[in-house]
Order: sequence, then C-alpha cells, then structure tokens
Amino acid sequence: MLIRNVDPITFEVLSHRLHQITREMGITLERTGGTVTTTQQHDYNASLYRPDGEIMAAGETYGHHVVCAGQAVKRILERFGKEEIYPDDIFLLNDPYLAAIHNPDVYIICPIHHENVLVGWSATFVHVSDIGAMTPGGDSPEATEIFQEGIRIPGIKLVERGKLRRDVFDTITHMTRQPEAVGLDLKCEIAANNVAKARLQAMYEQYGPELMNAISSEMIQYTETILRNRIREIPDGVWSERLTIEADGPCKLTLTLRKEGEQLVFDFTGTDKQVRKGINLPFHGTCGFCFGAVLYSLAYDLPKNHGVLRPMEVIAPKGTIVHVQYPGPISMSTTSSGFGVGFLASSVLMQMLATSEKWRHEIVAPQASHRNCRHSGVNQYGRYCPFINMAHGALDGNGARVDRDGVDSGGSYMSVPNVEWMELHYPLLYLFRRHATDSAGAGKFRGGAGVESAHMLHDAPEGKIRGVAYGVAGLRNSGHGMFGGNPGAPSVMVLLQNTNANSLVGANKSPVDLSEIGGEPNFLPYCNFELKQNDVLYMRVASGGGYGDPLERDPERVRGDVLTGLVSKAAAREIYGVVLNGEGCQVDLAATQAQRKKIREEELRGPQ
Amino acid sequence: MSHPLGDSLEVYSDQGANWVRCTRCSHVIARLEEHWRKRCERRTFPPTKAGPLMTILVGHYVLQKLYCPGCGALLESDMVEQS
Ligand SMILES: [Zn+2]
Repeated sequence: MLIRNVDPITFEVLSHRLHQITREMGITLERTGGTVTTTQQHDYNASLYRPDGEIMAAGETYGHHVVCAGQAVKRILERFGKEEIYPDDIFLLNDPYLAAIHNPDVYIICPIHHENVLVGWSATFVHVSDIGAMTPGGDSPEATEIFQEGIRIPGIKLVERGKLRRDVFDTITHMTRQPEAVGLDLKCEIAANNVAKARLQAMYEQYGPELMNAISSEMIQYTETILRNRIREIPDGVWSERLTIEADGPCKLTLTLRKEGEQLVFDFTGTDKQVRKGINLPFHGTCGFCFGAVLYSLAYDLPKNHGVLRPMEVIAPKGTIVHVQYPGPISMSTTSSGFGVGFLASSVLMQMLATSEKWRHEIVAPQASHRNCRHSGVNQYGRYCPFINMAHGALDGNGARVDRDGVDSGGSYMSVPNVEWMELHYPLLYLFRRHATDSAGAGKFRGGAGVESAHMLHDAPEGKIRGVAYGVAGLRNSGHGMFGGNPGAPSVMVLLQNTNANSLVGANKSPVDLSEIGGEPNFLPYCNFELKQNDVLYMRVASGGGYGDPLERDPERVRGDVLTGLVSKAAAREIYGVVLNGEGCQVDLAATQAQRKKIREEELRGPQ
Repeated sequence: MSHPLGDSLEVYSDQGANWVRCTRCSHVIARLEEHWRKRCERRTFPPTKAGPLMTILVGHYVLQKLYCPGCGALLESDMVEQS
C-alpha cells in the first residue's frame, strides 16, 4: 500500500488541487505581468513548498527553477528565522550564490500560514526586463565577475504583514534601466503568490491541517516510491556524454550517470574549470537541471514534487563550470551551461532507458539547445527599453521518438509572440520566419524542423539598436540523433552587415532568400553587437535529431516532407534514398530500393 | 541477464559472460565489458552527408557511422571531432 495515511480518492483530489494552484499562479503571472517575457513568452515559474522548503507541487514549467526556488525558501528561513517570518510577509531573493541561477530571474517567496502556523510556501520567478547589469536585460557577455551582472539580493522583505515596503520596492526598481516594467513584473509575482496563499489557506480551512500536512507528505512519498521502483527495474550501468561550449575557447562539460539499484548518480567530474565569462552555473542550478531531466523522462506522470529529488545524487567539483565559485560571472548560465547540463542529463538518461524493454519506447532524441538574442534601444515610439528576448528557442524542433517524428518548432517551456506583434512593438521588420528546409535530423523518424528567421531595423529613431548574443555557442548546439538517426542542423546566429535588404524593401520587394540579401556574414559568439541600418540578423534555432536509419523511413513520409518544403528533393534522394518523380513527387519504389541499396553499399566501401 | 541496448542491439548472457549482439542477424559484436563501438564497422564522412546545413561543421567534425559487422545494419550516426 503506497498511501499509508490517506484514502486514495482524497489523495488524488487534493494532490490535483495543489497542482491546480500552481497553474492558477502561472495564469496570474501571464495576465498581470508587465513585460512580454512574462505575458507571452512564459519565462516564469510557479510552485509550492512545504514549511521546510521541500517541493510540494512543482507546477508545469521549469524544473530547474523549482529546485532553486526551494533553495531560496531555505535561505530565507536561515536568514530570518521563523520568529521574523510573519503572516502576509513576502520576500525577494535573486542571489545566484545562494539560490537563484542568474540575477534577472527574481524569486518572490511567500510564507503561507494557517492559524498563525507556517504551513507552506509559494514561490515564483519572472525574468525581469532589466536588473542593472552592464548589459541591458541582464545577460552580459563582457562581464568577468558577478559584480558587473546587476543587483544581487540575498533575501529581503518586500511586503511586511501585508504592506508593500515602498522604500525597498523603489530602491530595487530604481537600480534598473526600466523601473516601471520591473515594478510591474515584481507586482505580478506578488499577485501570483497572493493567489497561491488564498487557495492553499482555503484548502487548510476546508480539510484541516492534519489531513493537508499528511497529503503533502504522502504525495512526496508516493512519487519517491514509484520513481525508485521504476529505477530499480532498469539494469544497472554507466553512461556518459560530453558537450563543448565555445566561450573564448572550448569549454567541456562532461557527465557520467551511474545507476545502481534505485539510485541515480549524476557525476560531472572532468568538466572544465570555471571561466571569466558568464556561462558558469551555480551548483543548485546544476541539480535543478538534472531534476528537470529526471522529471520529464521518468516521472512526468507522477505528482511533481520533492520525491523526484530523493533518488538522485549530483556530484559537481567546486570551481568548475557546473559549480561556480564566488565571484565568477553567471549571467548567461541558464541558457548556456544550464541548457547544456539539461542536455547531458537527458542524453545519459535516454541511453539508460535504451537498456530497458519497458522504457525504451519512451526515448526522445536529446536536444543540446540553441543560440538566442536580446535587443535593447529606442523603439519607434521614441521610448527606450531593454526590450526583447527574441525567444526563438521556443521554436526549436524537438527530437524524434521511437515511433514518431519530432514536433516541428515544438520548442520547450517557452512561447514566442507572432511576427506582427513583434513588429508593432519594436523597431523591427521580419524578412521571414519559417521552418528551415533540411534542418531536421534525418531518421526512420526524423527530428522536428527548427525555425530560421531574418530581421532588420524598421523605423528605429537612432538608426541602430543594441544586441546581445547568448545561448549555447558551439557547433553541436542542436538535436543529437539516436540509433542511426542524424543530428539536427546546428543553431547559428549571423549578423549580415551592409546588405541590400533596405533597398529591396524600399523597392517593394520581399527578400526571402539570404543570397538576395547579400552582405558580409559575421557568426556571432557570446558578444554585444549593434544592429544598424542595412544589417540583417539571421537566426536558426535548434532542430531535432533523428531516430533510426534514414534509409528505413517510409518513402511516403519523405514525399510528404518534400511537398511541405521541410526536406529538399536532393536530401530525399541522397540521405533518405527516396526517388521522387514528376511534379507530384510520386515515389518510384523500385528506384528507391535500388538507391537505398547503393547508398549503403557505397557507405560501407567508404573510408574507415 | 538479457536486455536491449537501443534499437538493434541486445545484451545476453552465455558461458558465464555477458555479450552484445545484433538483434537483426545475431552477430556477436563484443563482450559487454568491452567498448562495443570499437568492434563495429566504422566509416567517416564529411558532415554535409547529414544535410546541406552542416557546412559550418566542415573542418571541425566528421560524420561517423557505426554498422553491425555481421549484417551492415546502421547502429549509430554522430558528429565526432575531426582528429
Ligand atoms: Zn547485424
């Protein structure tokens, strides 16, 4: 009997109700947020914790922030002690050396009391539009120490006994480039936490503290027990993966997963030392990204809580990229080494699942993330703003699975506004945003196609805006193939300077081909740059890796991909061995069989 | 001991040892303790064999494919650093 103290129906109803509270917190953030990052891109987290900071309900967003916000609860408890934590207080913390991952992801943490007894916590983060770092928006490629990366708050009372501390609020927002927007984002977080508090207190009123405490404890026990059983069923073994991030030279991240009995040990020994570039990750962030990988692969159908963490151990040597020591810079950590750790953890878990008859059908080709860009400057209405995370990573192609293709532009947790919305609010003109032909990793089941886009200035009063290039810089920053599937095309960000895009648009032409646009291409590493008149920024995000041998793909599926433009006719022939005839692209089965035989024979005759 | 090792391989026990074999042709590739990848047929190609958008990898990576030595089934395709 898994559930010892609570009847199963009550357990189900109340555990789902707790989960619903996290969803309602998220909806509150989306409806009251001050910036598009929160309202449309959904770069936020919302979760509930037990009185000691253990995860009660993780919600549906970022696994890594769930762990780190729990860490933030513990830091607040240490700093203030229960005697200084009153009903209706709300705290703020964004220090990456204590609990956060990078400064712009500001945690708002709310103690929840029932009859003056602390019964739990809620926590949120949003990526505020600015945090006073040397680069607008927070991601600072030129920072060499944490001191250049903005305000760092180890825990402060923002609301005391229900009253906003205006002096504290103003002090924080005035240290940013956009006090109004940051203020709105902090207030949307306060609103979401107020919702959580009201809903959890209502449950305590209705069911009483004894049952509620038992439920949250049993939920964790339930998840832990089932997860341990699942792990135990899988054969013991050791799997490893590597990733190289280019940050003024190659930075290697290495992970070995050891599975022994019902324990998963994630060991990052061998990872390079931390660098003077903000790609370093705090240890709690590393734990958080591993938690996310386990949650999404082995525990996605269980109550999402601290029970997922219990069978896990994370080893990350101090002073490495995955366990940064003070005062190393961290501002780009989430989208570089963070997503890198997420990839490594997913990859070793997928290798592990491949050894289980029961679990190998759950495998998804892993994704090593993408490049991204943030702009700032004066917009077409004459207003300065550190404005926009382009968020095209939300349009990554997903990895293929054992029995189906990856989702085209399936993305991950985030979303991205439509082109028209972007152009209305920012001095930008998109030349195109579309699925990139031949980007998906070929396979028996192919990866999802990623998106490519090109944008230029339009009606920018200063004739330029600033850009910052971040993400996973490197050549293997995309989907990896599995069991014969090809990798997805690399994610790139290219600044084309001195193009003829302006004159083409001026002549009422819509250039949709890079060769028409011309210009001098500059592949962007981690850097600040300027987007000027006659420049075009080309971005291609990640595409999914394929699963299985491309020569075993159903030829009709290849035909379908050619007809929709996801695969070129040449790739159909050379990679998939599918011969298509005529304008209707009919499959020539006999020629296809011969072509596939020829490809394999030629491969096997090739260089060893 | 018997369990899959991906799509076309499996681990099985025989004569007191654990072995990796191809599920398509039953060819025994290696002892489990060995690196089975080292016992596969290995071929390398320019990165662009995996598609025209791989041009950026040329000179840095090669596409490495591993095949079953018994039947030529493709077991793995990966970009590996060019030595
Ligand atoms: Zn074989």
